[in-house]
Amino acid sequence: MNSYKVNSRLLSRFNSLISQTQRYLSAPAEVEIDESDKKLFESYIKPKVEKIEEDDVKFPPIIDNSEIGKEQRKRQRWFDKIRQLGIVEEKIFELNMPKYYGWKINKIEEGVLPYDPLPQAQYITRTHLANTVNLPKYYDSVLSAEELNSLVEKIKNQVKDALVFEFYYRNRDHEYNSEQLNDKCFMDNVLAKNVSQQINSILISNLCPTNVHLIDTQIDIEPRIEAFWAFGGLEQPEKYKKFNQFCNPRIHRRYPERLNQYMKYIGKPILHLRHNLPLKEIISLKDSEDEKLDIPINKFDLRKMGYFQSRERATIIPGFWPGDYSEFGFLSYHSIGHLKNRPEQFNDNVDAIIAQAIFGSYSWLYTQACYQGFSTFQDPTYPLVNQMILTNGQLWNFCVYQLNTTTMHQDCIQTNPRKNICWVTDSMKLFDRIENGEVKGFNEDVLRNLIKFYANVPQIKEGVNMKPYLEKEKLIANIEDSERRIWLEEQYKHLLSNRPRHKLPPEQYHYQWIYVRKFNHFLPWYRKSPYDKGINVYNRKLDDHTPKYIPRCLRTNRKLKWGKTFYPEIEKKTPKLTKNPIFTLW
Amino acid sequence: MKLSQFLCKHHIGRQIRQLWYIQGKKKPLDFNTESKLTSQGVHIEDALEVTNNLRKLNIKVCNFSDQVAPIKVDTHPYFNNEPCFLYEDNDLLVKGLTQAQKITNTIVFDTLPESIESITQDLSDKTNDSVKRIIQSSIIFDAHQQLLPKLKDPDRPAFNFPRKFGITNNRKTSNLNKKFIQLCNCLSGSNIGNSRSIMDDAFLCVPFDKDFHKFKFSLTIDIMLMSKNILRPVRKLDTEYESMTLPTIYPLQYLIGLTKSQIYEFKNLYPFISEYNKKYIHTIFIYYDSTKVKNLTELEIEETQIFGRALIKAFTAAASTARQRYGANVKTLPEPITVQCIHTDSKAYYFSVYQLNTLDINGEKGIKNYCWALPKLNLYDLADYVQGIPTLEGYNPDVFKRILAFYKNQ
Repeated sequence: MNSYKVNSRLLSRFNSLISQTQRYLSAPAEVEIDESDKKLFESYIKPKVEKIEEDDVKFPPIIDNSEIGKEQRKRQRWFDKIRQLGIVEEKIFELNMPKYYGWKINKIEEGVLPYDPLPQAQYITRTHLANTVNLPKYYDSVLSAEELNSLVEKIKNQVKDALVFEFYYRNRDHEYNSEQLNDKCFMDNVLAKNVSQQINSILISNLCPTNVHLIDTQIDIEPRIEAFWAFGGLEQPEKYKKFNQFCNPRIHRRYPERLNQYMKYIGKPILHLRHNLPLKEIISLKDSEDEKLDIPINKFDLRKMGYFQSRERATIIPGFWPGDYSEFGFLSYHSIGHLKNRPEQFNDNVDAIIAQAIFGSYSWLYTQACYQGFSTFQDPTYPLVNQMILTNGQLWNFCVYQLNTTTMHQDCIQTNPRKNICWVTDSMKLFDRIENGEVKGFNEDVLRNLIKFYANVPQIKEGVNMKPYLEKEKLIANIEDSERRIWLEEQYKHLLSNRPRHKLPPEQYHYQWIYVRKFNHFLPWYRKSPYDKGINVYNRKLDDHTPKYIPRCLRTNRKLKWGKTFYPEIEKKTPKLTKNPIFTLW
Repeated sequence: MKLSQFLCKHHIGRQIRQLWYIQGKKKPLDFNTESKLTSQGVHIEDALEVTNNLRKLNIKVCNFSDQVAPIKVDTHPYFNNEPCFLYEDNDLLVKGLTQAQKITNTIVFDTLPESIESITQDLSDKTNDSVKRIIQSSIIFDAHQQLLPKLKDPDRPAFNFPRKFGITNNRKTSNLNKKFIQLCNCLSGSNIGNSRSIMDDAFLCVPFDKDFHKFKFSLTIDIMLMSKNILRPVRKLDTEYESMTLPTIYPLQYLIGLTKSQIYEFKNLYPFISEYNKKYIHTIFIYYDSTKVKNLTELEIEETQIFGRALIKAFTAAASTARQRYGANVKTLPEPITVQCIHTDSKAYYFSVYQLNTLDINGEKGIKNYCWALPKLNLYDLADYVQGIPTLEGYNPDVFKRILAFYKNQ
């Protein structure tokens, strides 16, 4: 067989010509072709004389050279770069690199949920909701029935005491003002916080002798949770579609059906318990690829549902900085006080609680996975599990969540078979009412679930490389080059603090829109803004700025006028000496 | 034109107008120079007489602002004729510990009582490791980022440093201490752990009379550890107290620095109803934030002032327990009441034990209250990112040892 070595880039230029000739050649035989024409075509595509035996043939991959294909490959190169970066903080840093002023994100805050939020929550996080009212069967094997009953008997009275104290004896009238005291949502949050702290300490102190792992758990009080991920399954907004179709047809042709939208979750949990080992998985990764696990599809834009957009940084924080000893989640407490602020006609409190559980658990587990070296573009190689409690002191909901996948960007949303799974129990009342310092209608099942959660022992995952995408250094703190280490540390914390840029992005004023854009009345020496030049300000890259100026008295080298920068790169180049500052486009 | 960042820039015209307004309100002060000079026989001429002869100008004097009538205090619902001396959370006493001793009639000993020293045991390596981990997680690795107070250099006070984001002092201390209490709970066994409970931000208010003056201490206790049983009194009441004398702060009075007000409510406040079974205050944790607790004179804070603050908080906690137990009007207590106190700013720890023997604190004779206080102990020397590396240096195991002993004490 003859094989032709063809320069693909050259070939693409002549695509139109070739298609013409093909048509010409495949035309009926009546048409005669001039020999001069044939020679001309052959001069472009020269048949190579080399002959290769069939066994050794290795064809290069066929590359899609359309505009959409090129864009896709460009994205893939960026994903590969993130995978190859060997340090946790650098991976998160790299997510911020494309945007100088931050990403445009859909903001999801805990306790701010629109009407009927559940289908959207499941779709955005690729979560299948298990069809049970109880905890998964795995929890039946955690403790035997006798042990469980004896523990319940031991703890029952103490929990009752704590409840009576918080709901009956505690006098809060002079600690809060009248506005706060009348705000049901606020008071519910206060009660939820106090009750869950009390019950947590009771359970830990009583279960400690038999469950040694509880001594090593780390407690976080009101930690900071922020998660950022890309999602490609939403419809492109009609507004942009039409705009591009009529005003910018070239871009419109290039745009694929799906586009990445960026989500940001901001959580406010009451309590977190962390451990240095992960919890045991409930189902295997292969089972999560089952087609029977369904997810509702809700392609509406998030703004249509009632969420808002803003421009913020890509921050990934599970409550602690990288480097902490206990980096896997064990248990989290959340308040459901926000239900009191929900309009009565919504009548969807059950859905709201489940949606809160899904967002909260997914975000915390996803951020933990990011600290293990995975990201929104690389799936974790092992599942992570979280146990979650949602309460207002009286109503208790228990949720178990297993994270199997984190990739759901535009290129893999349709091909990724894995799903995350969530088990949620019904709302259970811990007690009916409290009268004269006595608890009426105490429900022991709630305590049973609580004890099962605490007695679930974290285990070592044997034969699993926990951090496959990280280098030996793993963290900024282990970098040997002190200059690079200090720069990265400073910049990373500055980036994640979410403070705005020192200079705000340029703005287009009305007079500019009317007198320059619409009717050009300005004289030629009018100083043009980036908008007049057709530059999109928000596409500015993060490293597109002048480096830090070093005053003459502080220079070691006289020629070293500008400070070094160490933005994440795969090949560690020695930074060049910049003779002139890099000015931005405007 | 739409409202945008353009308008946020400085408008100098407005500033100048403000300047004119402020200068217009100035009034010359009388420094008594005239009377002094005349007493020394110096002849004084009126400046107006000189200037009026030179030139006469027709200037209209216009009042920029009519004087606002002061708010009538006596119509306030909590107005009292007799003034009261108030002490609140961010106040400090001028003379520190000695002044606090004078107010509360307390005698201070330099060491902790033997009953507590006998319980303190050395920690095992494993617990030391977990304490270190707690310090790291709450002071170094906590990802909370909030705008911190402005940095000031006393040598160049007008210099503006870039503002820093990080963990606030209060958050550091509260996280650290709550985690310590949790660890104590695990280590001391379920019997002791079950008899304790925690309360956050409890508000106490103790009004009392002393030497014909009225006092009112209204303070929040950041963490209040409650217990089922009352703490045993440390030292028995003998007639020893007659030989003990309080230190003097002459020429100052012990009222110095306290805010005097006629608007107050003379009322006891306690954060819960007395029927609760864990009703006795066991230990109080007090946070100290140097950016909020300041001297009125802007002088630097001395160590005795911190001791004084801790003593007064311990006194209010003990006094309110006494009033809960024996009634609001109790003066001589049938049994002394003991409260343990830990004052901290997440690095420096001040341990003290307060024993309230009496609430009759008029004069300097008669029964006195006791207080045992240890000098300052540092939990660590340095806990921060140093050149990009998280470092914890100079960890001191003595601190947690004492917290555990305080927790176990019955």
